[in-house]
Amino acid sequence: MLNIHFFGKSRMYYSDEAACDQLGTKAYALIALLVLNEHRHLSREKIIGYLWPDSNEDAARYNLRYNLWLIKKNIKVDGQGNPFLLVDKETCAINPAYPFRSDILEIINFSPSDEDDIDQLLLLKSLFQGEFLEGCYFNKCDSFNEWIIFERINFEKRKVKILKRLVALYEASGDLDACLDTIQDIMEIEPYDEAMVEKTLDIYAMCGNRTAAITYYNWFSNQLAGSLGVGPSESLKAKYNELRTQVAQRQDSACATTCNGEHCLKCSEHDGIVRKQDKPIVMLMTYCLETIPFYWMASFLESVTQQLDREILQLLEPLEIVALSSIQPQLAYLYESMDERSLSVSVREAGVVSAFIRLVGQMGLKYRIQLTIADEDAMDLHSADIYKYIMTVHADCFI
Amino acid sequence: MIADIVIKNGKCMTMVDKTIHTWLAVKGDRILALGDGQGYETYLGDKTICLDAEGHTVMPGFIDSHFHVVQTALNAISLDLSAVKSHEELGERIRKAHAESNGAFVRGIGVSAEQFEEGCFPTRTLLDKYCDNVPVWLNSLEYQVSVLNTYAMLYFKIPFTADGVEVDEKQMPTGVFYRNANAILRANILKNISNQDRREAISNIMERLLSNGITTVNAMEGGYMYSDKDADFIYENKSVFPIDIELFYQSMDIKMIQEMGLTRLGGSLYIDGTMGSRTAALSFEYADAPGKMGRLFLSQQEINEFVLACYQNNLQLALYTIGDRAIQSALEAHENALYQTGIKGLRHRLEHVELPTEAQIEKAKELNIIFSMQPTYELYWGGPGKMYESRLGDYYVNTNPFRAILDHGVLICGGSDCDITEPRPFLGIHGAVNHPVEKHRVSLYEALKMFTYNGAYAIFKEDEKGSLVAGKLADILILDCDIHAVPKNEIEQVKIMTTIKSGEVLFNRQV
Repeated sequence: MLNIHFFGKSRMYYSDEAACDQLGTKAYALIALLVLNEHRHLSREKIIGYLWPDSNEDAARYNLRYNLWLIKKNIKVDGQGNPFLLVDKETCAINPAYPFRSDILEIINFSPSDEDDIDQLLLLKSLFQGEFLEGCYFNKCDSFNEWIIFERINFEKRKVKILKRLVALYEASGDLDACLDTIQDIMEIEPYDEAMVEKTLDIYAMCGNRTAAITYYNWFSNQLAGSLGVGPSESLKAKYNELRTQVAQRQDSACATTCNGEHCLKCSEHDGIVRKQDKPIVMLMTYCLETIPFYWMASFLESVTQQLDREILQLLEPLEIVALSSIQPQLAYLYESMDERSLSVSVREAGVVSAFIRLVGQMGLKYRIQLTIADEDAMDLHSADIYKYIMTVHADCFI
Repeated sequence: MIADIVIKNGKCMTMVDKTIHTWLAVKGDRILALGDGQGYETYLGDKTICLDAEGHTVMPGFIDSHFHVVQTALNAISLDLSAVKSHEELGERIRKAHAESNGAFVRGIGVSAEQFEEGCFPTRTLLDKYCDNVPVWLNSLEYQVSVLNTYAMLYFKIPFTADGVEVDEKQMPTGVFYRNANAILRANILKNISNQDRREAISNIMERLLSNGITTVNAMEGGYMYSDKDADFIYENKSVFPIDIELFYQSMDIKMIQEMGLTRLGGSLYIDGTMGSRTAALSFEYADAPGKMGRLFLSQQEINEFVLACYQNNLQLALYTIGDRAIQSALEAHENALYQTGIKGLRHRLEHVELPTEAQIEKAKELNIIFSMQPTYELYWGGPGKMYESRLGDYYVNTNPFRAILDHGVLICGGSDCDITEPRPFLGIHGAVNHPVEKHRVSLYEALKMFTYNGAYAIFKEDEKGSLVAGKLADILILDCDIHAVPKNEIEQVKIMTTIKSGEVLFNRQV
């Protein structure tokens, strides 16, 4: 099967065969354009506008013809005689019947889901072998250069999303070393991402290695001061202070119970405190739809009903359940225990929000929430506001 | 013993007790002897270089106590755009620089949004109109902002997802980068500058330094707005350059500093920001920005912990402090660390110290803190109608109070903060002697000492350099005049005729 890579130096090869690399950068650019417009026919004018905008019409048409010929010459028809490209007088397109793989297609076809597995994500991660269309800049091709920038931004976001999903899966599987390595990959892209630093501290704490957590915090503080001239956020400082306090408490506790108050070098090995990390983890997969108010919150509630027993929801007041069920009908099964008066009240948005926030708080008392949000950029505005709020007031409920 | 070099007919200022001799002899890299009259004749041999100072001043080589070596070197091969007034003028300068650059990428420095009549930074598409076939990278005056053309957007690794990427109405990057994005971008670009390029750039500025009499610099490298690769380069290569380079690694990573075997750290380790950007931490509001008092970059607890750790690890520390609130914070941290450790003698420094109060000066004396200051600032920004007055209003008369600092017994070492000001010690000496506020002026001798003996003391090298004494390094300058005969207001015009570094004549001005 044909494999085409657009990350790093563009290249293509057939499985088990040496690379067939007779194509120039414009040809690869043309293929990339068509691959990312898969299932669409692009007009020749549009392609010329991208790749040969400053050539006269004849020259531009010739250049396009030549590159199409070059691609045809290098990419053989498949076993059924299907050509790679479908080309006619007006348009060009990738032939949907032609079997091939491309790094960019595999990456854009990824969407976080409950079925994700680590091997699949590692494979995706391995596809990022440099920049999209690395080394490509086409003088006077302003639209095409804009398109490359646009796609690089999208791919960067996708890479972070894949890595974050990988972090979640590693954490859930208990492979904390791999989890830390993956966070480090994210930090290479976003070296000042404090959420990742907090997660790192959590993981160290989870392993009982608070010394490493404190060392890491100090290293990060130095990086912030050295590179940005700022200190850590209040939230991160609070996390750090919590860790330091835990160390002190643990040492005090251990000394008092096992060492009769005498100084003991082994105290740091004792674990006499209940860590919030000892709570069970609940993994919630959620989805977004930008145009539907409260959609993400509804998705969150759906995931809660699937993952947890009704006990957690029954901690809410009847009116709160009614409010939440106005955005997630699946909660209606809880009505059986309610009186008619509760069911007859009219629900206002503030009631939904208030009930949702209280639910998250109640969940945080019992669980650590491992939240995955698919297509976060498409979160509806109501949910986005609430999400931001709960991440402020209930940040410690989340991993 | 026969000398390698003899300087006769000079006024050799030893910088020790104001003693002056008429001749000096050098053997190898050391000063062999000094004296008066004809005593030098016994040191003359067939191969002795005999320099006639013609009655001019002979003095120790200058020590510039605050100098950003790599940045100065790279900026020397960059395009200074600080004087352009419009985007069009900027574009034409870039176009011209590109035409003359043989295809190399164009790095512009010194731009600010305020300098343009358009009132904003240019976007990448505007830059493209003037240069679209090599990368263009513009740096703001204090390196807080970067601007790229489209070529550079595709050439360099861009932190698209970081905070600080400016976007247009279509959510596409404009090419202007602030905050985190700027820091990451700068690091990405600077780390890709090869050490060979660094070496060549630094070599290129050496003659300029020697022609201004500089034989030692304190190199403030790495960290915020710089690149750790710069510091690592200086650490590994400082010995290949003809002048002495004393590294101040601008890092708070004490473990790394110790593993490198360094005994000091700091330089531009920021406690606050700059007066120009109104981020220097003041105890009062800026005159031209009511409600703003600048900011401390670190909390008092963080500063205390860091300073304490430096004391505990016997590291000399140089903290960047400009406003009185930052100076206070640093002094409190030192007081706390001294109280907790009782460790003295590390010769800790505060860098810049532009606005100390009398009480703070007294506290610095009590704590034996050295002030590393830049008198040239007063020539650039001091006095009526200049930047200090704009920012501070009537309070501008309190900036850089050299007289009071010396009178309280606090040692000042002088530096240029190059490339913020020119690497010309006589400019700094002129600034200290001719401070716009008369009560802050110092004597010529005191000003010379800031750039010689005091500079050596501030790096624990007073037994090696900073004065003309037999046995010390032969870092020697011959001036074009008798400095004592020069009117005060003409000090900045004094030139170096000869610079001798470690016994080698490395600069000789052609007459």
